[in-house]
Amino acid sequence: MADAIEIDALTGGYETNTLFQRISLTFPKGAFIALAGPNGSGKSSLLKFLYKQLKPKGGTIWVEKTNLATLRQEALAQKIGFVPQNGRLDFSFTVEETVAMGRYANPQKDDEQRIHEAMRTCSILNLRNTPVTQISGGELQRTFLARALAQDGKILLLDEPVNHLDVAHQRSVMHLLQNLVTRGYTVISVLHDLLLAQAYSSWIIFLKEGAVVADGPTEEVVNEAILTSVYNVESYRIYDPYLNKELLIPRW
Amino acid sequence: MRRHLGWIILFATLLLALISLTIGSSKIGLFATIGVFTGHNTSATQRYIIINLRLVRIIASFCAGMILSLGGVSYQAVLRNPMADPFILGVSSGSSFGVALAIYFGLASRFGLPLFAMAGATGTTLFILALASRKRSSNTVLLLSGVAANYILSAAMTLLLFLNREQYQRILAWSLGTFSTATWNHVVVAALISLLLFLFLYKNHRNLDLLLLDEGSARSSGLAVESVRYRLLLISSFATALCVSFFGVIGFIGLMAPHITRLILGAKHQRLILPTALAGGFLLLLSDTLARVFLPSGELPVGIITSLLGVPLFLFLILKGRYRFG
Repeated sequence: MADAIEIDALTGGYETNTLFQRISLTFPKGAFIALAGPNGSGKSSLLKFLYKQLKPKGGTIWVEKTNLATLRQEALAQKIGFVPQNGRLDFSFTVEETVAMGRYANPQKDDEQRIHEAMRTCSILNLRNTPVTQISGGELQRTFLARALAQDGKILLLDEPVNHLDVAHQRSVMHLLQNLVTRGYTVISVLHDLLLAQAYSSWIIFLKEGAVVADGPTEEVVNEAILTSVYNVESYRIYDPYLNKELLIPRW
Repeated sequence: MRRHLGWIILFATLLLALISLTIGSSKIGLFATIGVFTGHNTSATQRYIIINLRLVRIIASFCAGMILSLGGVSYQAVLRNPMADPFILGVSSGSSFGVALAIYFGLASRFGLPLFAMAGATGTTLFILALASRKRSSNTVLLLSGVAANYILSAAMTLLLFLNREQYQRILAWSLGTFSTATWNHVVVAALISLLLFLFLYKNHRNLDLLLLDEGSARSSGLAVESVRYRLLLISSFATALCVSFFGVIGFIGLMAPHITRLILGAKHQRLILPTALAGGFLLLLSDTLARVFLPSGELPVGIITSLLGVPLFLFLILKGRYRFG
């Protein structure tokens, strides 16, 4: 399988904290990739390197075989979309106007067909004239996702996309992401909920204190020993008849 | 109404300007006022009063209102803060300090107050921008730097006032804003600046939209966040500084006008910028007209009117319920 993104010996982080020391990773194309690890392990920071909010001190990041350092922000926007954790917009743009912002870097900025298609995919077309200040958290998350889809990139980065959503909304957003993967998108999502990660991701990366503890196919990587070494918790297995597979549950 | 808001404001402004032309200590009726422009039966004195005293301040207040409201639009987007106005980063306190300094050292009569106001405002702006360009300063760092600059410059100005109490009235009057000293030179410069600021912001309407997103979303959508923010801050601050140096500190227009038009038109800047500029111009012209009629003799500083008129209207609008921030 080709790689959507390849990180080669990345070193970098923040002014007072060099979080990553020569880490290397691959993100397989067309996979649903979960980024997991304790708070402060570097999951969100890793995403920041991928959309160029943070600049590496060393190493190279390849996005679809192009060196990220040589990509201008506008060119990158046509490859990678990002959905923030708890996205907020305090100004009364309509849902459609917010989604249309995703077209900023595209030559056809007002391509209504693409904007509507992104809204339809996220089931928010009926809300298109509603101000984002008047929609629910789940709808807002879908709006931000549609905005990222409208960019036309095939790689989606998501930082805790279902944080603060109720179970029904969590399920619908995760289904939507899974559906995008079947349509050829590469989804890279920070996920705190290990059950969601096991249920939906096909590839998982565990980070701890800026280091890669494990990465690979989810079913192979997630085991009791990894959870103990990453989170220092014990776990047990249950069989999920609907997913038809065993899931690892942390012991409370 | 949404589609025609710009035309409605423009028509209301022309009507208000006509009424405003007839108001003043010299009684010049509506027909005589119109006669000045059509060349019928008016004395040279009437022409002088209408053109050089009243029309000049009407256009000056309208242009200043445009600059301040456009500044408000820009600052609210750059700082991603609905409470931001063009003075939030210290332009007003910088210019007031410049004026107080000039008066204290007796330099005002030789060089004129606007020069010192401009120097104070520009100095403060450059200081804040230097901070903004350092590494990756967040909006919060910028805002706090502005608040800090406001406090320290206000304290320094109060100290100068305290040391030079007989000039207190003069500095206070200036700091509350007035168009009574407006000249045609001011008008030409203010009109040019308001036009350029409008064109600049209109060209940046998509950038302004994206700046209201979180930084990650804006950046990942392709926006070069730092350079766009820096450019917008620089241009808006200089336009505001110039306005303040001519006409003094006139609060609330920069906060109020963008919120009123957003309430009607939504937040998209492409739709918002022109009506906001016109609304700012209208509101300041209205305030200045009221400032001229409020007292039986003399006039009130216009800054008092903008707050007296603006705050209740503003509170009414934001408490109407449907309105959340913008």
